Amino acid sequence: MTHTTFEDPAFETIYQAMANSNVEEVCPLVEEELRKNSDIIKLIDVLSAGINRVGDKFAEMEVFLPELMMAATAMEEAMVLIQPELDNLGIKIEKSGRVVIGTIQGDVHDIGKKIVGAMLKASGFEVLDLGSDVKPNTFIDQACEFQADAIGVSSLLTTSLPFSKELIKLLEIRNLRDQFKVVMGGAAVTPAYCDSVGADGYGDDASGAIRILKDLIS
Amino acid sequence: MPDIFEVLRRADDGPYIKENDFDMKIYRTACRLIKEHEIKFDREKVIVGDNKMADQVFAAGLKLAVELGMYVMDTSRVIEFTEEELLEAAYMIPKEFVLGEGKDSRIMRARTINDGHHMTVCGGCPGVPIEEDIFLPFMISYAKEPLIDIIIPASLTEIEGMSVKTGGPLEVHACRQEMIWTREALERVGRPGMHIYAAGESSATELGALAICNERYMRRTDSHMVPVLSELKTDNARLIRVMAGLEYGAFSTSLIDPIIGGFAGGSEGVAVVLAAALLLSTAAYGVQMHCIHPIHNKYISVSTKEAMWVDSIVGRAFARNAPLAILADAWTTAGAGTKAVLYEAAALAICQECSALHTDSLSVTNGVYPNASGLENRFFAEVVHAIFRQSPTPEEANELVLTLFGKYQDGFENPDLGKHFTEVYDIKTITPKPDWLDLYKEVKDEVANLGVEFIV
Repeated sequence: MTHTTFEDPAFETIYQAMANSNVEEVCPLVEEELRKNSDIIKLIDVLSAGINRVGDKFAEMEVFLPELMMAATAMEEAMVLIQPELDNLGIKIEKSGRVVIGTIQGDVHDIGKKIVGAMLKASGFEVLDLGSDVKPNTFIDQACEFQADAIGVSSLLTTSLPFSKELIKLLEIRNLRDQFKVVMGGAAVTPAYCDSVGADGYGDDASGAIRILKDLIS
Repeated sequence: MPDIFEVLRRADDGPYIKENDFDMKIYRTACRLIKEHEIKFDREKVIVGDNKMADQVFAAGLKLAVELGMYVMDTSRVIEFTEEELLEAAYMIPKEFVLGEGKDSRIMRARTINDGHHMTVCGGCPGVPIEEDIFLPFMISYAKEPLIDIIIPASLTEIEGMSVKTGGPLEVHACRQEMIWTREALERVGRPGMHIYAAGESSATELGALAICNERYMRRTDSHMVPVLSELKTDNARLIRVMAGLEYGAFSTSLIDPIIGGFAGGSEGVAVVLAAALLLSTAAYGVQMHCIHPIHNKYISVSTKEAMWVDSIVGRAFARNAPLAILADAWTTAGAGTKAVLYEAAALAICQECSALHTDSLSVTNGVYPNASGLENRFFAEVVHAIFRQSPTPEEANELVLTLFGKYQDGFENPDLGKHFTEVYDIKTITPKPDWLDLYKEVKDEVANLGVEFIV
């Protein structure tokens, strides 16, 4: 695990606030840097390094889902503050991708999916979380509207797996299969099942899901 | 003590809170209580002998239950209980009752530490998908194991080539068929009165419970399950199961599976949230039994140090402060036909027996693959009986568990998933194949050499 440090004390403070889950400090510190006309690209790097550190800590069970979610929210809020400055300078930051996630129809387990959502945001993805018990057609309609690159489907119940298969069938019927990568995960899902239904990828855990989405979208 | 109608009234009229705010409130409150009560997870003391800390887990769980209540997802309301109501419900719950019928019946007890009774061993492999054509021999492989006291059905996931879908019409048929075949398995081995635990495994919705409330399927001496959603949540679908079960009159069990790394935090937070959920589900659901299943957020399995510690300290906490009939899931990472599954089974058997728990089932490959059989459940039960007779101190039990843990810990990253039931059992005679039996004997000798004194 890397422990990043920054020479500029202000940047180091922002990094530490993000990395150590003092997220309420992040936006005021970012506003301060914007007022000082600090290097904006460097500022984004600092925030990214901080949230990556939170992701590493989560993987090592040093922090837990609430801290991960708060850090992801702080990152989103900081980017909202930074965006007008980026627009002024004509700088376009490439996102890792746009992903619609949800727990499939008939299944109300959503904590694993929330972990994936938070880690995706931390990794620079734009995420639309549809919640749990989501019908296959709702996934597709929302993915179209969100202009998603990928659909992430979570299923913890064996008896909800058929709805994941149905989602892929419906994508084919609606001639949208080429438009979205489909990644599946959750306790009931196996790599063999993903192959059998024609999913593009299988995430054995949150880190695995992000790895596979990065590969697929790039 | 509030009855079901009062619970439903509170589910409609309790304080309103957004779900995300409730989730974060759990975490903040659990963090505060862990500090206040000085609760600390020690990776090297998986079997907890520290009575003071166990008492603190109970005290913190009680406070959390009072401060948080149980969240109703359909109404965004909180079913609140006072401390007195929660303690009264825990006191009123039966401490000893008969499960099953006739010679096959067993007494289920709210255990206390070293109370002179060993655990009730539940056999079966819930969660894993089992094909129609092998469902009966699969269940017979468990039913014929003499040390298994009660049985849990497997899940039927296909009927006549069609997938059983959550909330779909086939759930009704699958649950009824599951009960018919499980009963037939028991009759074939001459144990027709054995208690069927968690009846309706093939259904994830209330349809299953409703479909089997008939003597032809679930007898009143059997039981069904009502989950508490993670963390500390319920909904109308769960409350329908409560209502159906109460009016039918079968036994019922709450299912609580807090996530280590989720909104409860780490092992300490999960222990506190689990204690709260036990108290809340006793009061809200009116169950007689509880199933606990702390889930490791990465490895799922209960055989991790983090999850075994939670089982151990929560078992001790309730044994000392408010005994309940608590059954712990024993979910392994490895599958049948491997040494690893037997090491995991032994570690979990020692952990649960020494922590005043019963076992809910030995489900392999974390409930994903049908690589399961009665033999690993036999081994689990044999370890339970040996450990009960030996009555080791928590320190001695801990040493055994850590030694066993060292033998299977590498499997979390790359699990040895083992073999399908039909590869490890002869399904005509429903007996273990020679290779699987040899492996079992080898590991049994190995575990005996570690100090487990098997009876036979």
